Amino acid sequence: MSELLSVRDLTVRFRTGSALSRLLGRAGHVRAVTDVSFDLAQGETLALVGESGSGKTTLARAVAGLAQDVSGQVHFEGRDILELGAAGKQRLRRDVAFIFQDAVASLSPRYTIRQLLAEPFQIHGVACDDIEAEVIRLLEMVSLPASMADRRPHELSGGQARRVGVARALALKPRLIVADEPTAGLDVSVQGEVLNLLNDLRERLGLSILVITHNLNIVRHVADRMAIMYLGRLVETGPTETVFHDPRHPYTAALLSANPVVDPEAVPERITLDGEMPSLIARPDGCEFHGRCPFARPDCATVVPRVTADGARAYTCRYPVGINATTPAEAPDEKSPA
Amino acid sequence: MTRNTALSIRDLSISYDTPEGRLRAIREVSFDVARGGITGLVGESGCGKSTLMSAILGLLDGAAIVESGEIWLGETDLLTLSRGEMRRLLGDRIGAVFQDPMRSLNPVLTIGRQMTDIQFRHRLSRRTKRERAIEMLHKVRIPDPAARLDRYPHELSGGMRQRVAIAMALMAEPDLLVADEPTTALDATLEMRTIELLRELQQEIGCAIVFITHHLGVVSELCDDTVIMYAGEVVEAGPTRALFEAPRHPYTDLLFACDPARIRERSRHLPTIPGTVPGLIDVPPGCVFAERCPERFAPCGRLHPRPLRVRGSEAVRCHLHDPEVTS
Ligand SMILES: Nc1ncnc2c1ncn2[C@@H]1O[C@H](COP(=O)(O)OP(=O)(O)OP(=O)(O)O)[C@@H](O)[C@H]1O
Ligand SMILES: Nc1ncnc2c1ncn2[C@@H]1O[C@H](COP(=O)(O)OP(=O)(O)OP(=O)(O)O)[C@@H](O)[C@H]1O
Ligand code: SF4
Ligand SMILES: [Mg+2]
Ligand SMILES: [Mg+2]
Repeated sequence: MSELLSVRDLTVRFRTGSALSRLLGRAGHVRAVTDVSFDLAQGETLALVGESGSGKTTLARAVAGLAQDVSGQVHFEGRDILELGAAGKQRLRRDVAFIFQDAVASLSPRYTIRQLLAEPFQIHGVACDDIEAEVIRLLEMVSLPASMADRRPHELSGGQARRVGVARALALKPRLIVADEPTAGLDVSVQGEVLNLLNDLRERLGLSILVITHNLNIVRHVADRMAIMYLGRLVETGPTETVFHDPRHPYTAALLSANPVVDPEAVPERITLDGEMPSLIARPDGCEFHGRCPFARPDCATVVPRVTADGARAYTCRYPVGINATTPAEAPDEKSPA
Repeated sequence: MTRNTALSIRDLSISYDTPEGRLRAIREVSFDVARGGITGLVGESGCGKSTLMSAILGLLDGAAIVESGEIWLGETDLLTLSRGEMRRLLGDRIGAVFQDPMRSLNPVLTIGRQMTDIQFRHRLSRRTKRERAIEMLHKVRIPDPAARLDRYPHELSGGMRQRVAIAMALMAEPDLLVADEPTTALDATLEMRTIELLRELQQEIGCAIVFITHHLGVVSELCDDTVIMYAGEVVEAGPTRALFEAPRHPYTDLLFACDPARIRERSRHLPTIPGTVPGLIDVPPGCVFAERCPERFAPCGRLHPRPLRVRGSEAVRCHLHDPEVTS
């Protein structure tokens, strides 16, 4: 498989402070995404998981070229999207479709569903012989009746609006779909339909999918690989089954242990995370997870862990779960992780 | 309506006026929520859950028509109240967390301003109100709570917005809280935490909760009672335990079978319920689920099933359980 998307050292910043402190020049920045690197192959599904506020949406937006204060590299089909001109950006928006987390808010209330579904064709000047037929095809694809075309977003249920968002994203046959919680608010049957649809397209057209979801059961079924985010960094990446079966980073282990599972006998011991939620304003020293880590050792508070590559997987922890080590997995490094 | 009932919905039917005709969004819906109890409301996308919530809150869309029914909160039928009376109840006796968190939050005001405003009934200093707001943000596990007060809703992540909305609804200490998918953007850990918090606060202030969700795991952990809706009707209702152990309605059964959490073997192709939901402008005469039901038999296509009591406290709308139809 060849890489469709290749992200290196991606950092996204936001300004902090009140309007007043900004005026006074006292405001600083926070890094909502920090030094993130990963690859996504053609035809591959990568799931991005992690705590609320860990930077998943921010990362996804940056990858789709929708973020502002970004550094690093995002190569899409070999070209760095952060360097694109206006024409390149326009093309990018056609190749990379974004399904937004806020389904209703992402659809303009002034338009009918028909107009919203026809809009991508107009924006990108894509000729379409029969736009009406196309709109109906898109609606049917997400199991909505054709009669819905005349309604406006606020006249749909939450799940219906989300499905319109999915249909809109798929309208122009993108190469990459970035889906931010694409099935939140859908019942489990419709959720299955949407995920099966994305999977069919992946198989038929070879498109790649970056999916953000907090539903680990979805990840388990649909993702080839998964990446776990904590405080803006990827703390572990690897093939889905390996990570589920044998997590290395303690945060991954804690996250997976909270997942309600089918087989009561297979329920792993729930690892609860105590301690304060991490702060972007005052990032912890050493391993940024040490304050909440059930396995932390004294040096975790001071030494920044580096990325340990282990076959197809990688993790950022000096005392990984499942590896009986009395010495750190790697030599101490005072620099920030790669 | 008994003394132990916080909310009682009786024969509620609501339609929307649409260009194609009257869309009969919910029909003859009845159920009770016990005082201090939590009732989970589950059902397919578009079955009328949010419509029901809007009706309870007196916030129905302009195109909505209440065809019939009553919504009792204690001794009051909410449907008989004027707009002004209803507005006074909201944020006082009734709290709400909306499906779209931006509906609970004002985009042009800071979080802090909104969280102090909601305490308008308390005679406290601004400073104390701010402190209470910080404490509440802390409880819903928002990092850097003090710094967040100066931020605007769009500067928070999706899950943070949901938690702020929950925090605001609870600050008002209502008798009844209606929450529409309040945890969709939360990961498993936080979702469980938030649910524990809801339980704690619910016990502390003794409020009843109507909890709308698609997450079956959450329903089974959090809710005392469960109501299952399909295409605008309540098809099954009862104590959560019993309902999850032995679902009576074929829709409930198929819905549970689609839950990826219950499928042990990894599978790229997820199960779905074949077929589509019937149109609600011309509602089919028989059972609303007949078109997709694997158990369908002769009467299902022409006779509308009546709500039946089974095992004392459970209710189900299906001919399979009606001795008069099956005999
Ligand atoms: N426009 C913005 N201005 C300032 N801060 C922001 C902005 N957008 C996001 N943030 C902050 O960046 C951090 C990461 O937010 P992000 O939305 O990426 O999280 P997330 O992982 O998608 O969370 P969730 O699962 O809750 O959606 C949060 O602390 C958030 O408050
Ligand atoms: N303003 C409106 N005008 C016309 N039809 C509407 C309006 N609002 C909702 N509907 C329709 O009424 C039905 C019930 O919608 P409702 O929002 O109550 O569903 P829901 O159960 O909350 O679904 P979801 O789980 O997807 O949020 C849907 O078929 C929807 O399309
Ligand atoms: S009434 Fe008939 S069609 Fe409806 S759920 Fe029962 S068996 Fe199925
Ligand atoms: Mg997000
Ligand atoms: Mg809804």
